[in-house]
Amino acid sequence: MGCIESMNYTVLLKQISFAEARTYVKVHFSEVYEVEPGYKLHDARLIGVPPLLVAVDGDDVIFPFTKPCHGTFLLRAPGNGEIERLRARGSPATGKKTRRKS
Amino acid sequence: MGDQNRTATALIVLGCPQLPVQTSIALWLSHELRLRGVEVTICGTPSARKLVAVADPDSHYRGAMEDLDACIGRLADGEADYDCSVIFVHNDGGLSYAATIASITDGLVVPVIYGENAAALADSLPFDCRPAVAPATHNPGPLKRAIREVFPWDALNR
Repeated sequence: MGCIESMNYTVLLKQISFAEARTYVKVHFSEVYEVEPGYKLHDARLIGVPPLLVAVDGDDVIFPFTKPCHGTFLLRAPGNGEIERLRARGSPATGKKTRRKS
Repeated sequence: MGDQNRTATALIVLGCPQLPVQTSIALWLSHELRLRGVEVTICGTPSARKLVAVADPDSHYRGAMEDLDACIGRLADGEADYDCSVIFVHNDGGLSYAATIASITDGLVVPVIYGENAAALADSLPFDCRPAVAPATHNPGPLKRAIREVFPWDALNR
């Protein structure tokens, strides 16, 4: 996985399709951002069918990572500056519905 | 990309080299394009590139070769583009790469879809294009014919 290997990442899902990665992110995370294919995250280029979904959860980012021979993995890794870059892109896309606090 | 006087360029994107036809077809297509004066770059994983390099040690049929991630990076950053990108697809990962390149190039995109699941993969292509499709795994003949039929040869003539 190249530079990804140097990160302290956790594999949430492995050898899935890009569609499964997108669905999982939508269903399980509330702060979700759409990024374009080729988006650079932690020096890795995100591969997939647009729109690619990247989630922010606490101090971590959750993102799809595709390898030609092994399909798509959904990874969780420390944000380390990536969260600010994502938030600077604007409002989050639709994600899991969270109950509004009154 | 609009200058009709410059040399036409093509990118051949190799997928996972699990199926034997990929290397053979990539070298054949590279040769066909170079015979027409097209400048060809082949990108792929280290193992996919090594298969090409070993099969064509003196670069008779291929041009430059590049790392897959580096190539995607240059396309995404607008540092490079090609008149035509040919993407080999035989699994979901290949579809993802094809969709990625389709969204970051201004050139033509020709998915080459092969393997036992070729028809199903072609049905799930997430963008408009005219793919070359054949359920080839070992025999390159059917895939070669499919590429001959759909490839935009005229669009690369200068």
